[in-house]
Amino acid sequence: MKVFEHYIIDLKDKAFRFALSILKQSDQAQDVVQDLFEKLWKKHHELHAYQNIEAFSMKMVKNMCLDKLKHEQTKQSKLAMLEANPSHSENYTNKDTIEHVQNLIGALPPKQKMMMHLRDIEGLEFDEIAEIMDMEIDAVRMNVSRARKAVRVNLLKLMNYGV
Amino acid sequence: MEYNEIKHLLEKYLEGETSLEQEEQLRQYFLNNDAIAEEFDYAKQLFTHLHKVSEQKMIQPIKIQEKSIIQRRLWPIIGVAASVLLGIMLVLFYPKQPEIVYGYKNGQPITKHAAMVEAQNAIKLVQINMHRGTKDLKYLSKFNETQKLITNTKRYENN
Repeated sequence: MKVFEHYIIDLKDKAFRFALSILKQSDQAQDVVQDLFEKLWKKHHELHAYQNIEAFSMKMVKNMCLDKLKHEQTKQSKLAMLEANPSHSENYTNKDTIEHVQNLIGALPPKQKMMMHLRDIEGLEFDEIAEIMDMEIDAVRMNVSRARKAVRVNLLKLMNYGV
Repeated sequence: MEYNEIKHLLEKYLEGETSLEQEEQLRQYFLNNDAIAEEFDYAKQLFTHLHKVSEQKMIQPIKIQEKSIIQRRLWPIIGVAASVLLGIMLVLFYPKQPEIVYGYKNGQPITKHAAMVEAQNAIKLVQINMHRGTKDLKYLSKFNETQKLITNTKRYENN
């Protein structure tokens, strides 16, 4: 249990931030993290067999979030709610620039957003991100680069035109 | 850090070619310096935001049901204890069947033990009479022998 507690303390917030970056809803992100630890706890006797528990867990978070999104999307399309709910990235008047950055990152293509998050917020190595995303290291590097450049360009646009 | 160094690191950062250490250098620089070149303003905002997000924490505690593990370990023990208890209860509280009354002797009911005694007595009585009968059977066999002798003699005379 103590070993497991160590994982929890170390992983909980990372997993939460990652889930939140994908799902955008705090309560949903919390659900995912709760699910993650229930799953990890069930196999806590085998955890030492995994070389990188953090990457393994973040991959689980990613998959659970994408499942949730898929589920939400089908739910929403059934209700024809998509058009009635514009995404947050579109209405950024009256917010400070820090929030603009958040919106700019939020508006990135999903995979780029995830990779930039894992690198720039969680500080993971490119090979770990490659493992989580099921991609080649070079492809990860390229995607992170594209994401950073896109955020920079859009941020410069915003700053030049004033808010 | 020098202007040129920052500029160079930022270019590498945008290309995805900085190490985690170099990225941490950039982060520290932009977090701790307010007087920066205007062209780096976007980077200050970006790194300030990234830092802010990296400090986010999940408030809600994780609930791992430790109970279930204890229960999982306890269930077999509970099972064994329950069956043992059930066994003891069955022995102690098994409804006693009323004793069968086989008959009455002097107004007293004859139950299992008494009935056995009675039955044994009855058998003994029969036994005595049986032996009495067999004594007479000895004479009967003598009679048979005599009859055999007679029939043999008759057969002999006929031949």
